Amino acid sequence: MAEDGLRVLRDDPSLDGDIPLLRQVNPKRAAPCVDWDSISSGGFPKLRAGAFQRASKQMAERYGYPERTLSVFVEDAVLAEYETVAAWAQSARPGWGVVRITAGALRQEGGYLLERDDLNEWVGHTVAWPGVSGRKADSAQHVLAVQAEWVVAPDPGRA
Amino acid sequence: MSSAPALYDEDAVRHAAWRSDPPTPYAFADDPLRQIHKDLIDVVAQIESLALLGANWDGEFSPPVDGATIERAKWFTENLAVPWLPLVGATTVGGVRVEWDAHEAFLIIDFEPQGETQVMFRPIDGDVQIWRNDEIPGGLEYCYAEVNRARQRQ
Repeated sequence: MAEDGLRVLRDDPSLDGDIPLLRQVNPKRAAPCVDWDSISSGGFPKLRAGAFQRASKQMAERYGYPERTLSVFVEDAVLAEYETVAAWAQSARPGWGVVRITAGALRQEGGYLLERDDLNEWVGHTVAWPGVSGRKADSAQHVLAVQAEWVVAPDPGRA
Repeated sequence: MSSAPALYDEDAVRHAAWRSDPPTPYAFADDPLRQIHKDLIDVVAQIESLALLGANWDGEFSPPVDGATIERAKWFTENLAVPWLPLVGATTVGGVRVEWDAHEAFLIIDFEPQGETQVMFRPIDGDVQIWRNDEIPGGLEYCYAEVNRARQRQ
């Protein structure tokens, strides 16, 4: 714990490369996460940059993070506990979608550092924070949205 | 003398004339300007609806969208004079996002609380640029034109 009461985040370099991470996606139309007017042939809405916005300052303060962060989940840990991503998604946030992004993409595109911390006993929770500049992380939102792939479709009934 | 291309549904106008009524607004349903205006009203309504998005909409303790920020975003959007209208949504800091996305190029304007504004722009084959409360080289018009050009290439 740092002197100001905030956690000291420690990067785990083993979280890199092709290691799959999961990101939950709010289906609400007002949230800038998906474009329900653009549906792929597979039935998935187009993922928007908003899906990779860093969380609010309130979350940082609530959990003692020193700055705005991005929450992702290690897919292997999720599968070990829930067997399928769909089961986990239904248990965690029913109706929300789930996309997969690699740890390497977060590091390369957004300059993120990563630490698995199982925050609040959420299995596989991993905190991502900008290693250098929040600007780079913010500017990477769109690129990450393009690189991410759908695992669980969001429920259009909750849009 | 050649006549100007019709911007309205001529059959509907004729039908209205038979009824001895003035043309109804429906007579102009095919008017592209009218359609843009209608779509703009929808976009503005979407911005207003952001006020209904409660706190924690992102599941990560995002604050509710700030009312004054909604008004700023509305004013900006209502005064747009462009044929391709943006997508809108909330930001995780209680602001409003206005976004044009053409895959290889994009323009994202985040209206944030306390009157701040952040613009993220990527031109075709270029790097992402960010301006915060700052003058944009070439102006927003240039950014929009560049993204629209990328859209037309799709």
